[in-house]
Amino acid sequence: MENILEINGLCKAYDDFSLKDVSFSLPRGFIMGFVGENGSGKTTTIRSILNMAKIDSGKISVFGLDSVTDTIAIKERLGVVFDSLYLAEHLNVKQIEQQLKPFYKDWNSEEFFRRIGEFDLPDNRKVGDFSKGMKMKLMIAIALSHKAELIILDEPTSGLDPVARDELLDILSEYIEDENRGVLFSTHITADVERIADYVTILHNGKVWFTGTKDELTESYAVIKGAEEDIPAALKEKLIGFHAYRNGFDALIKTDDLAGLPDTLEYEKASIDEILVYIAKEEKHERHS
Amino acid sequence: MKDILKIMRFDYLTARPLAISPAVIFVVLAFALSLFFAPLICSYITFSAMVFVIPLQGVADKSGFNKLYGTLPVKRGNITRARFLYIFLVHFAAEMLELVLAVTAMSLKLYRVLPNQNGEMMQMVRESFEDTTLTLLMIIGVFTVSCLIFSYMEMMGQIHGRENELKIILITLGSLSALAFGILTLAQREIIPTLKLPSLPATTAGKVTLGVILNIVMLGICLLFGEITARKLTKREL
Repeated sequence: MENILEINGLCKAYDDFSLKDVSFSLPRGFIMGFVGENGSGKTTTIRSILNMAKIDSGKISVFGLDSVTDTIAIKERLGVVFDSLYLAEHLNVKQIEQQLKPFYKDWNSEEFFRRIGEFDLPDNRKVGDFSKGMKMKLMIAIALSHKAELIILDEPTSGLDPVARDELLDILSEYIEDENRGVLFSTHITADVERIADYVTILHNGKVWFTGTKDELTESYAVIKGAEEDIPAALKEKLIGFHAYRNGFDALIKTDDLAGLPDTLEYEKASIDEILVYIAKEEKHERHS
Repeated sequence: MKDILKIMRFDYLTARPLAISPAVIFVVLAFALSLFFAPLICSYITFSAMVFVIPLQGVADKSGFNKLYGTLPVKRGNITRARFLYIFLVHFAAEMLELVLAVTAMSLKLYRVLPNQNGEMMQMVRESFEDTTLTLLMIIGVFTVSCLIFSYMEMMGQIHGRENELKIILITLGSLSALAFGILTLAQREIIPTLKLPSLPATTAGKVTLGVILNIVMLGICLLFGEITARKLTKREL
């Protein structure tokens, strides 16, 4: 399976934050949810893919091309949707189309206006006056109009109402029906990932905590609950995000480590949301009396 | 070069909706006043050039163009270079329009249709239509100064940040004034020889050559400022 996006050993250090050896890949024809708490490095990774951030080491390949030396060729075939609109707010859709058209060899004006109509976007209103959902749709319409093979979305659903979120996810699902395409979308709304992602990469403190298929992730982890004294000594070290209460505890555990678990402890499949919460608690080992 | 032209077009389309009304007002005003009262007034058209440059940075900041620049298939350095060439070209277009208008005004001499031809005021108006070369050189001078100021401000703003732009420009102007004052004072006390300003060329051909040279020099300065800024900015992240 050919990878549309491949990141190997990406390192990027700022004064107060760094990406450490980030590696993951997205095969063609799939959607990857790129999740992690705020400040985990999702946006820095995306900025590195776009060559907006200068990487310290590592290699990023998009369509098999190098993200630094072939950045222009990559951007011809890439669509990007940020969490906020990056277009001139005083212009309307027609004027925006006029502005962007010359930059892309494969720009298709008919397709653009067809999408604008399909997304119910007014073409005579200033885009700055659009709702957040409309702005997201406009950025997607732009990506689709120059035949982007990979769409990268940075927190596209944050701040959207449920209806707009649903519409956006439907658009992405429709887009990925063409198996030559790919979608990478960063979010901390895990319900979106549960709904449309095939692959998941979890970033935590600038490191990749998990990368693989969504099913692998949810089948690999379970939430374990019970009385603290029932935890076998060998198992204690394997608990992730241990959270003790007066009457018991809960923690995340790899399903591989469930063998030999005493009957007094209960476990259930972990959701992505729960996995993220336990990862965040990992260093804390919270204890509430 | 294609990249630069695309970005210049992008800048023009960004500014156009905001600039077109004030620009038209300046042009109409300049046409009316220069045709009837003084050809030199056509240099008001330079304001039209200014209104095509002034909104750009505000729009870029408000609309998050840094992100857009990060997604466009264009080299970052060319985005910067294009802005400086754009500043030159809008000023150059205004200058050309001013020259055509001034020549037209001086040929038509429409002040002759105005009433009270023997009045004192009309005498001044008549004189303003006589000195062709000075008027044309003044137009080129206004173009040069405005273009220089705008391209310098753009360079300072992009390199040091818009918030520091005014401070740096004031420091620069202060330093230049102090230098000029120093030189003049030293020359007055005969510590250094008195500087003589070069006189204008006597022939029309000489004056035309001077005008062309000023335009070429201004283009060179804009390209140089653009190159300096592009090199500084490519080291930074978007």
